[in-house]
Amino acid sequence: MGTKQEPLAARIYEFAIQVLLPEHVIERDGDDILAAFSEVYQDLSGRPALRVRYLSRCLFALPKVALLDHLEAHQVVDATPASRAHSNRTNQSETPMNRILQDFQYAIRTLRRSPGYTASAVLLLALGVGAVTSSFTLFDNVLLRALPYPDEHRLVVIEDGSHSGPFWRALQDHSTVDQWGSAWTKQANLTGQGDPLGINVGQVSEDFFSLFGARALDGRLLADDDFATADRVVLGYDFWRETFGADHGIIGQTIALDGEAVTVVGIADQSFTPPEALTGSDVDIWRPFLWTNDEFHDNGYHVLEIAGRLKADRSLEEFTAETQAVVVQLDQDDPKTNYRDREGNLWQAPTAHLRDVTVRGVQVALRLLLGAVALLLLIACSNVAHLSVARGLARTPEMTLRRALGANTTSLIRQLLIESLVVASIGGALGVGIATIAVKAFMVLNPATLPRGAQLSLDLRIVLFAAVISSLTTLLFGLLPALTTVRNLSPGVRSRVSGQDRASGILRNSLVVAEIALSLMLLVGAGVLLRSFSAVSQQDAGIQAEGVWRIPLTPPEGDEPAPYISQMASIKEALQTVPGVDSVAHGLTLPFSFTGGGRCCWSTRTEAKDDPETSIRLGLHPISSDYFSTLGIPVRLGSAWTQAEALATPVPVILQEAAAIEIFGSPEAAIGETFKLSGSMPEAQVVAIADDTRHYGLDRAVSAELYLPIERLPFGMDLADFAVRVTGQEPEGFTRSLREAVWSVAPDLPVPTVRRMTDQIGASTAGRRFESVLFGSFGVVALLLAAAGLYGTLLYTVGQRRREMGIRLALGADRGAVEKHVLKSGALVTILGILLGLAGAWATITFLESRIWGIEARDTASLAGATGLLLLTAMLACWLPARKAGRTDPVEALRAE
Amino acid sequence: MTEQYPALAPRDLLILATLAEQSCHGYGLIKQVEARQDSGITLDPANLYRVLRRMRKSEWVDEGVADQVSAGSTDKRRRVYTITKIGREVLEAELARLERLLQQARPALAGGRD
Repeated sequence: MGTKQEPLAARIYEFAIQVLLPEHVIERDGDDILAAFSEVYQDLSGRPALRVRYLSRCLFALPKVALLDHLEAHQVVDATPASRAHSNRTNQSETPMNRILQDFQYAIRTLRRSPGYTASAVLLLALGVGAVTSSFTLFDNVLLRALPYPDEHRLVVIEDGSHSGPFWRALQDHSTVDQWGSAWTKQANLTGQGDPLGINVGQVSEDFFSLFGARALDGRLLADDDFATADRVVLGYDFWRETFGADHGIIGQTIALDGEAVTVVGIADQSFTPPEALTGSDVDIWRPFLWTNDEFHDNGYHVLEIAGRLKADRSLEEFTAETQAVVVQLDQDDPKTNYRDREGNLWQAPTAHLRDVTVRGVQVALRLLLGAVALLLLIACSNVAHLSVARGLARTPEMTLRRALGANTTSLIRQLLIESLVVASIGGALGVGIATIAVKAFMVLNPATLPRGAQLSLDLRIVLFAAVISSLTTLLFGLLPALTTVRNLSPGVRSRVSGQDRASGILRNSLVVAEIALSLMLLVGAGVLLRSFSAVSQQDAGIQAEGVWRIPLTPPEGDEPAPYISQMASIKEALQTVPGVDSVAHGLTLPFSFTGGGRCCWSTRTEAKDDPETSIRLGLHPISSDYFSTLGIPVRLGSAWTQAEALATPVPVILQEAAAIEIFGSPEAAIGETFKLSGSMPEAQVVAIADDTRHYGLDRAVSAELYLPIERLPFGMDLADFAVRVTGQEPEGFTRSLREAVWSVAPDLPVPTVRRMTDQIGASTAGRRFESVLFGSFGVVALLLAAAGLYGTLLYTVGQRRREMGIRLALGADRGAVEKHVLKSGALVTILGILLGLAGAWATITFLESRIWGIEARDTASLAGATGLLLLTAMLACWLPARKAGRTDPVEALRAE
Repeated sequence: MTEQYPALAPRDLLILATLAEQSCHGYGLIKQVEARQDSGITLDPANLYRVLRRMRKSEWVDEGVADQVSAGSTDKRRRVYTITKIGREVLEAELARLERLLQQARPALAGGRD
């Protein structure tokens, strides 16, 4: 919400609001609720106890408010009295329907009499169904649901970054593809519609819309004629609604993109989802390529993302071969096309199905999670079965009595079944509730790292899925115990029961072993992810981020560098006048502007003097004066250029230590050296060495980077990033003053965010935090279930062997020995489970390898920590039944028989 | 006319009474209601806005936007709630109802002491 750093309490409250309250409420009142909360919270400053009380009061009030809001939204509240009247009426007649109703009423009464059993069974089921349903929702949305494009299984892409115009044209002759589409998403500024707005413009090729099956909501999509001048655009649906208030009259009007007038010819339909892998998920405006632009005829200009639809009878392999042939041809035609690496190997064009590209990276982890969670449901169900069997045994006298009073087997079974059904439906419904909250929590936490995450929703299919799961559970785990119970009523089978009991005892124990093993696996997974997250978070960024604010800007792109350079210089001056500002610097990008892969935005190679193999790739960072001092990057063996030196020849540059070592062998050797960069850049001279920064993210390796004066930028740019260092506390309204300072010299420039650098760095690890929380929460649920299973089994055994223990105690065994006996059987199961779990974790941890960072994959601390946590929980779960066994009253136990 | 409106929960009564004195935004309402803390009523923001939504739907209150920009925050404008004519009627009806109730109940206590 605000750009101000919110106190932790406000963030907790915001999170709870977003998770619990219905969407329409958040949209209407969310900001106001939060603002009111924060202000009251402010008033309590200096009184920490009151603050805690206030926060907890507000948090505890939320669920009730949320429930009422949801009920009102679905008009459930009003519906209740009517339905009650209805059921009263049907009660009168004796129909089969009515008998079932009576059975239900009876079942509910019976269940109410044993609240302990009912509550634990319902809770177990709810947890299981909730966990499965929410992870299935993730799984389904991300992996299963087909991409919303025609013949999506035939859509393929050429990966490995963007591609050049000549490459795109050479592809057009492919015999394996019947349609091509390409896109290049750029940022632009929309002016003349209130505050200047930074938007994403998806430039596309002629067949793009038809390839992805887009339709127009109103007006038309792009036609071939539009590509001659490229001044007609189509609005994205969301953008049209948000910025133009869903006004159909916008069609035919002109709008200003980077100061250029373009005509709106149509609005894309709501159903059209941009292909994320090509365009990113947020495209506001669609615009045709202007193919006559130089950049589409330059082999060195890699900007196009390319996709195509395979002909029905062609395979990906054929497509790959044909694409590679194009690469070979282009390389032969012009060896300077950059299709070879430093060793002279030809580039192998990597191809893939669009869908695999979209979900790559999370696929394995999600599958693993779903598998684990499915097992978790099984565990929950088996726990319920435990409870049901135990309860069935306890009710044998009641059943025998009812049988004696004339109830037949069918009606007894029906009664038991209906009880299970009631438990299952309450548990299932609660589970769907839990899943809804969990899915919302996923989205609030971080949908950004999850492809297609924005579309996450719990739909009817998934609710049905949950219903099927709970019904199956009922059948399996309600009917079986029911049968056992009723069978046990027949006289003369006692001798068989003990044998059967031993068999079911083994089954029970192996279930618990499996539960423990599985929860250990999940906990270990959570452990390594959490430790990776903390290792990444503790990584030294190489900058002093405290007290630095970041302001990214998107100036309109021009061909000439001069207007860009002078505008940025005047913005720098304006920002310097803001009270509280210590120093200001800017560059094309700042550290952490582009994290999570890929490089932005300007890189080149060193020109090799004699041997092309010695050429080294460098990230280029045009920067203003004060850059190093503002960001707190130490500079050694020299100093940054002065204003006058910036224009000197050779160009003064500063190398990042890693680059100095790579090019010259050591920082010392680099100082004073001159070298040439490929392309039009003049000769450069190293004037100093800067310490390494992790420019592209904390979990990225330090790469070879070069800093040069921004005054030497050879072209216009559409990106700028300002860093502002503040001394001490920011004055009131600081972010507003920063924005106004920018607007005082560039009134048309959007200032989308003003953000603390520390937040920026934090956001770059949000994906890892999300994974840790995901695995952690499932791990904890699994742990609880395993503990419940262990506890239930032991309690059951203790109950079964009450008589035996009574005799032992009566014969003088001391309580400690009886307790130890129970503990021993629990310990055996636990240790078996742990051994199996460790083996399982050892084997499956490789699936997480790509997300493990800074620690060994088979991290001892995670393994030990998870095992310790499990042992502790298991000990508690064993100790309670053991204590109960030790407290058996021998007289009572023997009399009961 | 008094039958026309439902009896009010004490919390709703206090909110309406506060708004009858002056228009207020959410934070102000919380402060005002809590200033009359003898009522023992505490308001959490989520609940407050729920009540306000409901009152707005029944047209007891109206909402508008305050123009002043509070220092320190971003330029977000905050909604201010004002009591409507209907809202005043509801409040008056409720107060009248409570008066009558008191009138009927007081003599009992007075008589008992005699």
